[in-house]
Amino acid sequence: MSWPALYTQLVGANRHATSLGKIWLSVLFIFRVMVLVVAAESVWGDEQSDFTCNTLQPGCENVCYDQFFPVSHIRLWCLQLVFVSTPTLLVAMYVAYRNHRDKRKLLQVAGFLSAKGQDEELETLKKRRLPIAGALWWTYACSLVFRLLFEAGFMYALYVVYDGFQMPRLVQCDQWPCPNLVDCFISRPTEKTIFTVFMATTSSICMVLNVAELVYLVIKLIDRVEKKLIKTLSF
Amino acid sequence: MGEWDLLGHLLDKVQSHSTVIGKVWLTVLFIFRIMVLQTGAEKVWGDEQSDFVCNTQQPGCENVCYDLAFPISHVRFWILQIIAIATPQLLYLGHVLHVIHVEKKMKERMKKQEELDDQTNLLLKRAYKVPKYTKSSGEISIRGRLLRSYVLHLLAKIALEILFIVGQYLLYGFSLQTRYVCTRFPCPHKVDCFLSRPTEKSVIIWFMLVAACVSLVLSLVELFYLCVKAVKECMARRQDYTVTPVTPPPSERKAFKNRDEMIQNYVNLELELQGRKLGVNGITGGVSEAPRNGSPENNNMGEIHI
Repeated sequence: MSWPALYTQLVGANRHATSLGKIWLSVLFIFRVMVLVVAAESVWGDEQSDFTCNTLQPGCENVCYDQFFPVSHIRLWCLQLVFVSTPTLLVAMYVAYRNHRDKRKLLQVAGFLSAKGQDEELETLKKRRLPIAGALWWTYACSLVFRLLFEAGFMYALYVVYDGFQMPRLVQCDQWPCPNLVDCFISRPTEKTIFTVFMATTSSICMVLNVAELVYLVIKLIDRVEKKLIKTLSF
Repeated sequence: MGEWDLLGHLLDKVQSHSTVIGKVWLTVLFIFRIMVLQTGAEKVWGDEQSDFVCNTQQPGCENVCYDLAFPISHVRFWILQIIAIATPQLLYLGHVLHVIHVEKKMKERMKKQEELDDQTNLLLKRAYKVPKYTKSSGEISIRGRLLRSYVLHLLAKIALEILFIVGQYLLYGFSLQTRYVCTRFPCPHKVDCFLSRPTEKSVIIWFMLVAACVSLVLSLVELFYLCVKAVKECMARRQDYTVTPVTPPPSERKAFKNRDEMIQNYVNLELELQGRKLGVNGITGGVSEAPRNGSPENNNMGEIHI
């Protein structure tokens, strides 16, 4: 599975999303996935080969690199993007379940229709856009909450593992087999800092979009409940 | 164009809702900037750090000197530049899609209305909003709020383009020297560092700079073109007013024997003015066929044909 394949899956599920959800998907793929694939991967491409330590001791560079980069930024971002995309598949699963159930009902009820009529009905069933109400509302809201949790979780993890969003130029390491406190120099620290800040900013924008979408869903729910109350009270 | 496919697909959608110059701008973006970046620039900058050699054996000196010389690589800078100037266009696309969605709903509502009783139709027609942006051919015309949003996106594009060109000049200048002198810790003294392929890189930098300037000029021309069209439309409208004023001058008003005649004259003048607006060159304004045949679908107010 590659990024384009993930995109096709998400676009299918996104048909039932709100406008904010559609904007979120575009922001995710243009400002995060594309930047990751096109730019960030080449910046981090030589992170180990150009990690130089001021020592001739064999193995010292390896252990020092491993100490300061337990998980590379690129891998963390890839995992973050994959985890953040998966809650949308929850919605897709629910929609598929609903379609399956309605298809069975339709086949039971519309037995008197011709084969062509039945086919047409099935087509409209597949192409319809379910309103975000009832169980779909809850599924959608859950998916948003999970998205937020994953985004926040990964951002926090990145912050904790690398002690902030800035990449230092020099790190000092005295792991065995390094003979003493050794200066190690990281490759392209400024460019890496720029991209880390960029990815953190786009992640925050995505979180803001998710919060806005959640608020919008809640408002929609309140509206619907109000209308129902007014209807029942007016009778 | 693998990774740029999604951006390309979205920008293609905007093509049908932009001017001719906008379409040329998009072509310049894709062929002269994105394609050159992918096929040429990335290979030239491929060995930028591995072949950055400093005249010293001090470990770490090359790393820090490279970092000082190139805080951000040219290739990444251009990628961010392309994404930044595409962003206003994507925001405009969002607006267009919103308008299309709203107009579709209005048309559906109108279709439902036409199925109602004729009498109730007449009564309710005024109560419903009428699709403003859709032409009789079904396409969306750029006018009103949409035009404002288009102009805004042009201004943003121009501002960002200028920002990035100036930024590039301040960071690196417009050509690369063969030698870079560096004195950062841990380099023991002033160290000569040598860049890889400086001439080839300078050629590509110049090429990308020219492409950026061409894009900037196209955006400025597009803005100027829209302004000229808007001014022409204003002048055409003003001409109408000087020929047939809506309210007759005070001297003529006294000529009316009673108030009813005056009201009738006012209504006649207004209808004449509306009818006159139809005939202006390429620019239609005011309520067109609507009062005559009763269908609200051909409502072209203040439209600029692009």
